[in-house]
Amino acid sequence: MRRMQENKIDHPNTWKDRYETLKLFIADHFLALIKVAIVLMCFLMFLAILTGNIKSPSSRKDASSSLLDPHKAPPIVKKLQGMTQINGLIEDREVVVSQFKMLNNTPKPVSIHMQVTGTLAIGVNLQKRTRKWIELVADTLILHLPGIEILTPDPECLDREKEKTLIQSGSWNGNELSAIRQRGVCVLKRQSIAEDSCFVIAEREVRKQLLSLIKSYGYKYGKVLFSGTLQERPLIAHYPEGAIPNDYNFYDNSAGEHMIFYKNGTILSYSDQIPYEHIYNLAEFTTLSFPANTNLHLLKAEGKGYILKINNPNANIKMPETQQYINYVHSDKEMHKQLKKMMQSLSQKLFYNIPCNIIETDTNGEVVIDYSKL
Amino acid sequence: MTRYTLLLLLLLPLLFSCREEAPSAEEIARHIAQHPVTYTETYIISRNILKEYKDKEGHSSKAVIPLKAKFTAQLNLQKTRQIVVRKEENMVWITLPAPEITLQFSKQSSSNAIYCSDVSRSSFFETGLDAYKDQGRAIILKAILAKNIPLKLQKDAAMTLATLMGEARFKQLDYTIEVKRYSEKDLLKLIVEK
Repeated sequence: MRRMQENKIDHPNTWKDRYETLKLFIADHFLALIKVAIVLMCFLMFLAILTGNIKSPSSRKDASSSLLDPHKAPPIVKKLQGMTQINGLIEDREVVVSQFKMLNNTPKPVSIHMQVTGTLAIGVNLQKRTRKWIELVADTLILHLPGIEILTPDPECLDREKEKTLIQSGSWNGNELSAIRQRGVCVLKRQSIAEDSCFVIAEREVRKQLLSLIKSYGYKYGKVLFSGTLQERPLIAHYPEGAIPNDYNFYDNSAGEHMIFYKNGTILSYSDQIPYEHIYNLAEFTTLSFPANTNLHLLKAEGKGYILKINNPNANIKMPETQQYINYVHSDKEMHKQLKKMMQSLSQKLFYNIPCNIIETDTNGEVVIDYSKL
Repeated sequence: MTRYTLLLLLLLPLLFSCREEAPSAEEIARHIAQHPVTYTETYIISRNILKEYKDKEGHSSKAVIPLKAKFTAQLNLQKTRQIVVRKEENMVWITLPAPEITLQFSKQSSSNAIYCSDVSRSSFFETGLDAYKDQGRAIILKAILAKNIPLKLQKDAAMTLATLMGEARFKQLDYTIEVKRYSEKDLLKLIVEK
């Protein structure tokens, strides 16, 4: 101040004078100017935090606990809360459903082969998510989602306009046709679950979509976890009650069974009513020859995966009784070996291509695929 | 008085620097690319070809040959070069990139066929399944075209862009997101068969 007073320029008329005045002003008020700048910067930062452009460390910490707080939820949470489902894969299929029946006055069964078209969306149902479905751990946003499932409800998946009867003998009433349509839904589901590892593809696609979304909202890392292991998911679509007419009682059980009919490498003509996808693969699995009318029977074992049973009733195709199983597996070592190989291929084709161990049991000639060791 | 004038002179540039300028077209394109959103639609399409056969006695038999293809359409917002951004004063037009479409046919095998009657396979497939390849391809492509998947993907992407452009700095401009309707011919050009 003193210096300014000493060098006081009363009337700074020229640019040089003005420059001198500014220099003196800065020299005298240097500290004050720095203080003003600091205060100003603090104020601007406060404004930025207030508007949400910058997050203070404490607010970042709070974000983890307040992800699901309706007032503080970040945009990604709001976006996901607004979604009901995410489709990973859409299956659009035409399938043929065949049905046979014996009439009293005819020696041969009459049949109908109907082509049904249906669309199934496979993905994740976000409405089934649990309470703590999202969490932020350090830089990683983790989503805990329900397992992959078929999202399209049964009645909606068939396109009635595209339905076509390919070949028909005999007459079929409305109830019978309705049962065939219902079975068409089952065949569609069965193919979706069993073929091409559709659930695996769907899971991969949903994960990809969500990780892309997480990144787009500025999170450095993302993790998407689905509940339920592969073992817990439905491996085989069940036939709903009433879908199978009573005169075909080999389907009439609720244990999640699946019948495969096989005869010397060719398909048994009377067993056409089972979904073909499981039949046509069979020739690829084994070169074994079985006696005429031998059935391969795959059924779900309680807590142990799936059991293969071989049945040769030497009679009409009927629901095999337990005592009718013939112990092929233990009677011939080579056949046992081949069967194990076949079951391995079968399980890979039918159940998502996941590797599995085969363990043996010494009762009833069963080969058990053990999924518990995965 | 002079002091206050000088202080004001110092503060003014600071205040003006706080006011954000409207982003340029390049900045908008970069902003979009910073949000790596990918939209994917995956389909498995299965269609049947019906083959009719008449034997010497005139009896008709039919076989169904199932054909299957995996179809994936993808729209990637990260590909800046493909996103066209035009700006005139306060108006901005954004044209989305064309989706990448891949189609993969499953191998056909005569063992996949379903026989609607007791006729040996050789009667049906004396010429082999290759004869049905083109027919099957046409049926599957027809099913794909009917779904209009690129339009669906573009609409999803447009929704995201609308959110992105709602951010403070970009909010000052008016945006038009152009969604292209692909003709059958254009779509067929986009499909890459694997």
